Amino acid sequence: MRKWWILAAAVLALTPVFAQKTITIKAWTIGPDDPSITRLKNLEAAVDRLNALLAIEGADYRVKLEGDFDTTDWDPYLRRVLLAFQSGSAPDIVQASAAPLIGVWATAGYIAPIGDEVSRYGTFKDVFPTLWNAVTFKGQIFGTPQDTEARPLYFNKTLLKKLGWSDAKIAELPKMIEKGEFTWDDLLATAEEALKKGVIERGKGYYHRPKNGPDFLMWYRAFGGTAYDPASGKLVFDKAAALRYFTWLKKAVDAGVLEKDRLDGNWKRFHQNVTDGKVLFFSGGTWNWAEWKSQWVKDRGGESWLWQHFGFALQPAYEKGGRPVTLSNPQAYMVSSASKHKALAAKILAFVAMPDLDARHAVGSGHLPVLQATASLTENRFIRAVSYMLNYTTFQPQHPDLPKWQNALYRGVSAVESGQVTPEQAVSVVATEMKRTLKDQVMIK
Amino acid sequence: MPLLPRNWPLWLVVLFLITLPIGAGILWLVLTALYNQVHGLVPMGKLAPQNWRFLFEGSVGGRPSIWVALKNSAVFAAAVATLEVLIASMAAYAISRMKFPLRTPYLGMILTLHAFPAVSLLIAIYYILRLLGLFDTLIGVILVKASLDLPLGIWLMKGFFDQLSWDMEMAALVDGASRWTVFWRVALPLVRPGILALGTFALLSAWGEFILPFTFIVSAKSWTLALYMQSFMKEAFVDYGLMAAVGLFYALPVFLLFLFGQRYLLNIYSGGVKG
Repeated sequence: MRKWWILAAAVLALTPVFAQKTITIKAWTIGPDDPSITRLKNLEAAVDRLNALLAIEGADYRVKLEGDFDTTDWDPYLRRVLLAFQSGSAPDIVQASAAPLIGVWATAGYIAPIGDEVSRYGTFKDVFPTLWNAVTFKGQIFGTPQDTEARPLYFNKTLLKKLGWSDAKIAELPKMIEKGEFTWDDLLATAEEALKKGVIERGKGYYHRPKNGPDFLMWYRAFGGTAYDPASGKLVFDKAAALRYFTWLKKAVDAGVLEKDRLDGNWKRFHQNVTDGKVLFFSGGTWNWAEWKSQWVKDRGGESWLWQHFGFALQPAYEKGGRPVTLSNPQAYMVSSASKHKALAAKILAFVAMPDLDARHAVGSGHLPVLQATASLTENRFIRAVSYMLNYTTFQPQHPDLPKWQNALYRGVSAVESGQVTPEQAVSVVATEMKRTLKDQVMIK
Repeated sequence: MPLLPRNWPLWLVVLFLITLPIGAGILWLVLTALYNQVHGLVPMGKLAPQNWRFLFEGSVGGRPSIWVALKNSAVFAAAVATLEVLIASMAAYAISRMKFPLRTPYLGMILTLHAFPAVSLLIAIYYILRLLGLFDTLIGVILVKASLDLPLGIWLMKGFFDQLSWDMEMAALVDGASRWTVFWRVALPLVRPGILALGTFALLSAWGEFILPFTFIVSAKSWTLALYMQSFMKEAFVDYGLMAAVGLFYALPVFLLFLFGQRYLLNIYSGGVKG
């Protein structure tokens, strides 16, 4: 009998401990570049801070984060997220590109509007106002900005020097591009000269990404194209701009500046040749800088090697005096509609929007901060040097059918580069394809 | 030397040549896992214990711990093998020994199911798992894997039971044993080589299974080793040393199984009733 009393007393004594609930919040994040792991680590730090605050407040619950960081590729990640959404077992927090995924997922009802929560927390007030546009769909906020970036045109300074450019001229190049004095045609001419003089191997005058992505929209814009009509909310395809872009690609391939099989899907080859110092001009992203630094040229001096050999500028204009562009594809944290703890998930996001965490991610992964206070906090040379590009940045339109538009344009690019069709034929193929898949959602000009 | 074929040295050379690519692959795996850099099959630089950091660090690049993946893989393989052996041996005994309506069409249906490649059923299985609430759970994938492998198991075990002579079972039945006792005490011990064979096949096939967990498990806490390893195959920069070390770690249990279980595995080909 005495045993039972002791047991009962023990149970009573332990009750307060067990009364404290642990709420598990699941969060999925992706790089796919390794250095972007702070997208997950920052959430973990935010949960730690939240728990510390809950302890002080004497709250009866604590939060446990079950996080996941994907380093494989976007396709398998998005497939995984979609399966999870459809089966109702989606994580509470999902990180992905704001545009057009917010449009797509909000339309499907997978993610929840969190505008009320956002207005409740002061930390969000410091977010760059333009970034809210990227996470807003049909007037409602569906996510919180995680980071942003710019996509520069990099150039190899060593190769330019070999070509006979002076240090001053090389240093001047980004300014010339910004003013519209150095155009895509000048780039082509420079690369052709480098090929003739044997400074570069055939096909290595200009590199762009090896597979589909937001960049093709950016280059189409660089050649004067518009992709979206805000008045009607429809996508736009500008045939004249596309023809200019495709014609340039054709000229570049014919001149031996651009590889015929540049779209080989092989990122490894892209990074290898670029960091071996073989490529004269190459379009990439600011995050590539962090990848090259910490992985590809780590043994050769890391960032100082990069500063010594690479320069960066905006994507040039297509005509003299034109406006150069770049593209930002802001990442966002979203809260899934199936989550049982939406308010708590939003609270965690408010704890992530802190300048120190924002800075840690920006510096570590080569992305640009989302908070205005962060800019003054970071002493990072690269971040400061690329920040001006945001004045020229463009976003992907928040249209749920944008992937179809992009696939059609990409098909045109790949057909022109591989030499299957002429630029004119490619334009009409793309226009037909867009009309077929997008129907009344696209205006062909 | 009556046991050796004529021209045996020539055969040896042929066998060696055929095995060479596989051997080279394994050698590459071992060297890459141990050294900093490997050019072809020549190790460069120093020994690289950091390739094995996944064993000691809780998580490598945001992945779950390898021990979680190892536990999941072990549970997955063991559960699939147990289920398969249990169900297949009972089903095979019934098919082999009992008469019931539609027995032949039933056998044919099992064979048809075996002919279906698992990949073609993925979407349908997804909907079923979702309906049952088993999507993204280890139990769900265990059930799917076991049921897809069952047809082969049933046919294999049926063959073993068919070969058993009726006499012993008849004797037991005459002595008053129930059907269950006959199955459990008389028939099953006699097909032990079959059980071992099926169990081993099921274990190995589940250990190496990739496409089912890859499709039906989406959260990292239920990852098996195959998914853990796949996460190192990236878009661009691949740490081959780390990946080879994980690969070796993944292959080790299978290797040990063969090393210590060889004697029993070879037994598969003997056995049965003497006499």
